[in-house]
Amino acid sequence: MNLINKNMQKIKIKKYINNSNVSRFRFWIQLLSFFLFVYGGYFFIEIGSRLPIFSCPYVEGSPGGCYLIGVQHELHSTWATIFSPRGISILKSLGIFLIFFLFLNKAWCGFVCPLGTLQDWITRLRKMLGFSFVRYGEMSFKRLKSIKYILLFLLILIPLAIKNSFFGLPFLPEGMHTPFCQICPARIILPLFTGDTSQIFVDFTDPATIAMTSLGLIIAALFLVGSFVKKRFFCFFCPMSALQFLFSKIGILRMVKDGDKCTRCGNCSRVCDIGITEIADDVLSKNIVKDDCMMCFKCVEACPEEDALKVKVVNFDIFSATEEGFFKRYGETDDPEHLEKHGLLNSNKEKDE
Amino acid sequence: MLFLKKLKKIEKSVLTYLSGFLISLFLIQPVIAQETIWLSNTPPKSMDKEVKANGMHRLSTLETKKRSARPKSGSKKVKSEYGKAAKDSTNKRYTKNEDKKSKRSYGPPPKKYIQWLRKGSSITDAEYICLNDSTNYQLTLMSPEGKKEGIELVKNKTCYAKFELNEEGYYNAYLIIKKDLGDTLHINIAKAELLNHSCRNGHHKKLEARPVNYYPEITDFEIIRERNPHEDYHYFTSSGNMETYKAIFEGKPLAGVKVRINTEKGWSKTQYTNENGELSTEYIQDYFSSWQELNTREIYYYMLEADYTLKKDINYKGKGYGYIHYSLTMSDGYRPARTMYSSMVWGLVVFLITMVVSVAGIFIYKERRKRPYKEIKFNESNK
Repeated sequence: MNLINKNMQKIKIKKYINNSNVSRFRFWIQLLSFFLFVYGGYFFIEIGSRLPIFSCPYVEGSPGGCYLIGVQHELHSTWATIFSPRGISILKSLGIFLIFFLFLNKAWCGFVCPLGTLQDWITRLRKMLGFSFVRYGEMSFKRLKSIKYILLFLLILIPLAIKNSFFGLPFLPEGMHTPFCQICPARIILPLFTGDTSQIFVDFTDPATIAMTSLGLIIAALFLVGSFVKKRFFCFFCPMSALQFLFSKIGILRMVKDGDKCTRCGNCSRVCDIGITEIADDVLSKNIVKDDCMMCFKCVEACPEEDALKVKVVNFDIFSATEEGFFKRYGETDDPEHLEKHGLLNSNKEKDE
Repeated sequence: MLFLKKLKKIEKSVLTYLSGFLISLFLIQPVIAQETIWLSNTPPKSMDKEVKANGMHRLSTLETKKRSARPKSGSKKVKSEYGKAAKDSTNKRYTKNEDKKSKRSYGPPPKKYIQWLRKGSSITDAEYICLNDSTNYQLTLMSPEGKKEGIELVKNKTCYAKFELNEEGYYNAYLIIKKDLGDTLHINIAKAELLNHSCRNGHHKKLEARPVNYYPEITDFEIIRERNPHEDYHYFTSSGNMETYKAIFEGKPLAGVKVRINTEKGWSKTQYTNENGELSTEYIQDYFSSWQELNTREIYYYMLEADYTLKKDINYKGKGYGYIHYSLTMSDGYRPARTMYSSMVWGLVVFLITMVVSVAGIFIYKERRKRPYKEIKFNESNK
């Protein structure tokens, strides 16, 4: 009897989770994370300096540091230093980054990253104001997605090229140190939440710093405008996302797809903030975490097929797509306005551009 | 009668302080002005090549070109350029044979930070000095955690204090020299506040840069630089900045202390501490150049001298003194003001222009993609 009761309880809990509104849960987690990673330092909270999110050290109240700033500093060294015992620190940092990353995989972007949260809030504002949004066309999507890998490559290469000469070429100017931080919108926008406007400046030290600081301001402005018209605008170009994808297979949080159960209705790709189409089209891959995915699990919520999409921790299912859950979240209606509100309908407001 | 008694008492105390002041002014000050010893981060020209500025705060370290060779098993000595250091009892970690338990028996040695001993008030002309064996001195290094760390005085051609900085944060180095000046015991306290920070180590402790450490158990009299509200490990004093210093005697603020600040560029200012023991000074922008010529990483130095005479009967090394004269020096660097090479106005202009252009671009793009409504009527009757 006890065993039956336990099983019944397990089924009840599973049903409760599968029917729950993960997006609402995500909203609160994002809100808490934003306060933690922007103001946590004021409460003497320390989380770490190799975090897989934009916990920007330029924010006075930041309780930690983004891994990208660390790696740029570490690579701002001569080959002799990198290949000396001091270079072990580079591996150590990578190890710390991976330990953090392992737990949440790319859900760091979807649930924790303050810059991602900010983009979601801008999207909410756009919805409230009734403006339409845009999606990239298929060709643009394919072409633009490589930008994040180029940025990742450059943020590794530039610090190295400041201290070392490649093929006898001259050294890059010191003004380009931490190149990604100089152009990162987090450096300029997140400090504004603590009342710090000191990052809005053009540095006239030398031509390189003039170029980099101006580019940073241009990107910050594009970030605000872009996020207003395109959901998760910056995540598409984010080198952290590219870096995370390189290690996403070892993450303990996984998202899997059962292609046999998929009817290719396209709900999953329609609700995707990034606009990943493979999630609907790819019925062969089990691991459905793509390089642009931020593991927000909206796709699992919008899938009406039993267990077609699942969120797993190692091999344990924690959230699965169910018909009951789908109807609980979206309601049993064919009303186009209702479906459009939930992003399940390609209305005239949603254009491929 | 009572009034006369009180008047005599006041007269006596005024005379005592006046005599102390006159002694300080005419006898001690000229001696002190010549004798002021301070700790400097600037190397003498003879050591320019050996010294390397390390980290973002450009602290002087001894240049180490090669790392020590991995010792062969059974070898008695480490054959490397650190051979000398290996013999030194404070550097046992470099030799495998001397300390087999040491985890780091080879590889690059930890950096040796250097502070030079200099005498005189002028930063550019103060001479590099060495202390005699007979000099009564005490050299102390305190870690950010408030623990005593190793520091030694190396007496080569030029004297310097040599030490390691292993933790992130502010280290305090003190060189205290006691000297007999007749009826006065002269205590020269040369203080250096050294910020050890490397961005490689991350920035998770940046808020800890704020607390100011002072140690009444090491020196009765001390001057501290108060931290600015937004100060972190990346903070630099810069010309045009307002800085506040506080005089502390036996752990309590001390009013009326004469403090003189001299900068490398020759600017000098004398002030007295207020009732809270504080004085604020704005480092004037003492050099000007066009932005193309400005080296924003250039560090200039300033030296702060504080004098305080205490009328107190004390006995030191078997001799009685009527006065103690404290002479404290503290040197640090300052950089060009950020306003000299960065502009928020230009930043806002770039930011706003980009926003306006991108919003206009999106609006035009969307408008151009709008197709006018067209009604297509099929005439089915023709079929």
